[in-house]
Amino acid sequence: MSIHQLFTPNAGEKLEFSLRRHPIVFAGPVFIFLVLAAIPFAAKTVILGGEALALPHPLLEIGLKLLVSIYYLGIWIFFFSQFTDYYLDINIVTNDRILDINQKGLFGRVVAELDLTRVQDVHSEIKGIIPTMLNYGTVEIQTAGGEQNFIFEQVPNPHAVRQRIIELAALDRKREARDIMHQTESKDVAAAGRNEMRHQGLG
Amino acid sequence: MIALPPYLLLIPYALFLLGYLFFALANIVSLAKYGARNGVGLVASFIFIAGSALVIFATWQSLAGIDWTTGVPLAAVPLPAF
Repeated sequence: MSIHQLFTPNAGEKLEFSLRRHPIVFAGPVFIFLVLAAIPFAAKTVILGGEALALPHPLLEIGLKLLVSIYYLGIWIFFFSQFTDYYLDINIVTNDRILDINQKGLFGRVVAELDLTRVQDVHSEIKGIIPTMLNYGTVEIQTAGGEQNFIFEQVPNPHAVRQRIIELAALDRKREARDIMHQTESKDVAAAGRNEMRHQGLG
Repeated sequence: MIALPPYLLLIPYALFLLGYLFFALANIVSLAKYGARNGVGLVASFIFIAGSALVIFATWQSLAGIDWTTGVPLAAVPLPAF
C-alpha cells in the first residue's frame, strides 16, 4: 500500500508530504529489548559463574527450557508490536487537508482530518539536547472553533513543517476564495441570461 | 508412585504458541494493510519471522533426544523449601 492509498484524494488534491516520528524515538524500545534479552545470560553469569545449570530432575530441566523459550518469544513479539505501533503512526499533509493517523495498539486506529482553511495558527517546538542535535520536535496546529488541536509529536524539521503548513493554509484559503468568486460570477451570469430570455418572451 | 510423561509440559507451550501466532499474524496483517509500500514493513516482517523461527529452532534443538512418552516419577521432583 502506498501513502496515496491511506486516504481518498479529492478532485485536484495532491500529497505535499508525510511525516513519521523521528527514528531515534524507536531507540528506547530497542534498548529495552536488548536489556531484556540479556537478562537470562547476565543471571546465568552472576548466579552460576558461567557454568551450566545442573537441575536435579529432568522435568525441571525441560520446564526451564520451555520457560526460557516463552520468555524470548514474548519479548520478541512485544518488540515487534512496538515497531508496528511506531511505524503505522503517520501524518499526511496535502494541498487541501491534514490527516493525523494514529495506531492504537494492534487493534485500534484513529484517523483525524482537518481542512487547511480551518488552520488558525501553527506552533513548532524543539526542546532538549538530543532533539536539538537531531532536529526533531513538536508541531501544534490550532484550529478554528472548538475543535481539538492537531499535534505532530517528535517529527523531523518541525520549524520547516510549521512554515510549510502556514503556506499551504494560505494557498488553500486563496483557492477557496477564488472558487467562491467564480461560482458567484457564474450564478450572476446565469441569472442575467434568464432575465434576458424572459424579457424577450423566450422563457 | 505418580509418573508424568514429559509431553504434558508441551501442552501449555503449544497454547502459548497459538496465542503467539495470533498476535504475530495481527502484526503482519496490520503492517501489510496500513504500511506504506516502501519495503520497510516487508523487511521488518521478515526479520520478525526469522527471529521467531530462530528461537523455536533453538528450543527444538535444546530439547532433542528427550523421551517424551516415558513417565518420570514425581517423587524425584524436589519441592521448594519455604
